[in-house]
Amino acid sequence: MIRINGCGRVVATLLALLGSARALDLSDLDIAVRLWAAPEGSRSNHDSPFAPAAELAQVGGERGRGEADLRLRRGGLTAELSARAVARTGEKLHSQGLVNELFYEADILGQHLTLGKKVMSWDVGFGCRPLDVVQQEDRRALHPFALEGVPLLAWELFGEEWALTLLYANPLRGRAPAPRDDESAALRHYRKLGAVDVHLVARYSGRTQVQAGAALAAVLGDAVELHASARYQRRSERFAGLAAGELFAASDPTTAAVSADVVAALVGFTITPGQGLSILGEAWLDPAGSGADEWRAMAALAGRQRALLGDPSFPAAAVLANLAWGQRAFDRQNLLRENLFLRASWKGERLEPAVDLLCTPEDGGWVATAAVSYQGERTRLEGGLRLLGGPPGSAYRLFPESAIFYGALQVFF
Amino acid sequence: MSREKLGYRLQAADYGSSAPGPSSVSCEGVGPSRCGTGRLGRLTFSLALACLARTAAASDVRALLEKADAYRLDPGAAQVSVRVEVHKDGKLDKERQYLVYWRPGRRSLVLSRSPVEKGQKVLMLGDDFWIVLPSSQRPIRITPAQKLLGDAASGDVATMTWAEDYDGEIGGEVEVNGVACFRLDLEAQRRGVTYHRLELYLARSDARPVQADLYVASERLAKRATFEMTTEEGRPRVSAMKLVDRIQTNRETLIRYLSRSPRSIGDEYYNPMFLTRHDPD
Repeated sequence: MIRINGCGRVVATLLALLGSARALDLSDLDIAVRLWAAPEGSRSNHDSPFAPAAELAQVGGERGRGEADLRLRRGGLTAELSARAVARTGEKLHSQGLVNELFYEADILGQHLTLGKKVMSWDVGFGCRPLDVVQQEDRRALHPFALEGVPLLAWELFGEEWALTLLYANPLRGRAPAPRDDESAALRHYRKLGAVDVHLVARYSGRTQVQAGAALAAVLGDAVELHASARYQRRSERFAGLAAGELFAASDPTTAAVSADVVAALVGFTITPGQGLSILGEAWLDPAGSGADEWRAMAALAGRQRALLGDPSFPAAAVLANLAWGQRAFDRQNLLRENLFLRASWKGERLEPAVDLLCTPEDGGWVATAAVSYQGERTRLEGGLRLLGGPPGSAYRLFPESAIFYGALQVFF
Repeated sequence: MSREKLGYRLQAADYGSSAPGPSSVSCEGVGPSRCGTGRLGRLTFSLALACLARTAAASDVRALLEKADAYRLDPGAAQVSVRVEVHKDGKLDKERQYLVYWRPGRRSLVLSRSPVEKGQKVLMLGDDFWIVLPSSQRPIRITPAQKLLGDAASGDVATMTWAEDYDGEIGGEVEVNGVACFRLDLEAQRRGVTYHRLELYLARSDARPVQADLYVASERLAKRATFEMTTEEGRPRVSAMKLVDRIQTNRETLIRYLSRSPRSIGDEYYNPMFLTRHDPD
């Protein structure tokens, strides 16, 4: 991973690149700039057993994020540089600069090579993406930062109706805590069979061992798209907290529970009846999610820990730390294994309202979002509200926030 | 006069064919032993002539469409720079720029060049469409109904020819804005096209496009297109296509062809998985 400490260096790099662009005759330099800022507020969920440690876990309150992205391309060389900032009421501004992408693509005698750090997304789904074995992205996140590419070396072949990609990601890095940083070799084969796209993917890394999957995407008629994907994984990891029966930990008890031979799967559809209306439906199974019984156990443990606040024999700081560690269970794309998702949007002249609903049938939890965006010539303005709820003890009802309201302004140059 | 007959007459008049129309076909000059072979023989002969007339009419339509297409695009692969302007109540409301790589066989690659859409690409291969959004960098399969690019359907931007997508018959002759025109009643031959039916008016003198009424699947008249002409390298060319929305009548979309040149890009650019690689230089 290529990181630069502080925004200053990134800004200096950007200026240097722009200066170089002016000094040289780079009339064919392709430049795109995006600036955005997204303030958020929330309503606390005081019923959550985790609520007392929400601030410690950096959940809740007013916060905001912003990013400046500069994308440059000349010939086969592409670079995307970002300066990011995160602000939270009562805390110092955190900023970071990084190189999101920096890669060179060469086309030699029908062979297509890529060297560098590049975004490499492969799945066909929206809410869950089983075939994203190299690059992971959360499409449901509210205003995520620009995707950060994966260092890789790739060789690709393209036929009229097929493509083959062989890549080596994170060379010589070995196992890494995050899947995207893991050293791995991956293969993808794409074939167009009439109106159906078929994707086959295989990957090997020391951490996950063998992963293999397939995806389909097909269009039926003028208005219906169907997609499905599934992935087998020899070794899978997911969140695990304190062992059963334990009440308290002296240090972060978060570990990764290992499972063997797991399957992630997704099926979905898009219906576009016209007039700018689009309806997306998906159902998926994510083995990285927990079961309802595990969430009930986590809720019970957090409830017992919360009850210790005020008990002189347990330091409050230690109790709060345990409650904050417990909230790492929410740092996952899918809190539960089984998920249903429905999204409806309408694209007007400049306005695009959208509503979506995520349900977790196993515990009855849900997340509902309503948003509206306005697109100008160089700007995009968005505002929305996300509500989290469900029966007591359900995962989304346990989250220390019950509502998030947000805005976002993007400016393009 | 029936459409088939009209078509046949046009072939004779405009393309130098000496073939007579069906109405002029008779047994004159043919001996009774050959002409009087009974009703079945006459029926077979009539059917064959009708088929011939229909085929001839179809080839007329195709020839006219190819001639009309040439006012927008030369035959063969091309690179076209397009600006789409949306006017509301006579004022410019929105503007988008696209670079279109087009090749025969209904293959188009549309690159968005406007700041707010930069990095967005749409690939059209016949009836199949994919889009890549800069935020995700992955090709997404989309339905024909999703292939909207701003206020102009990608059919308006990416499809620059009619001959490959439509077929039909010559419906008559009318005057449009003072220009004597053939009216072509055209039906889409493929499901992926934006408009399922066209009434296309081509100048009788040189087959240049004058007006088109564009109907969507529900048989509703969606837009009326008119064409602005210019002269490029001594040749008359379509410089802009104005689309007037028939529903929201205060809206007009102007598609301006800023530049066009013969350009063939590699086959790989028409592979959806190549969309995440670099654009053509």
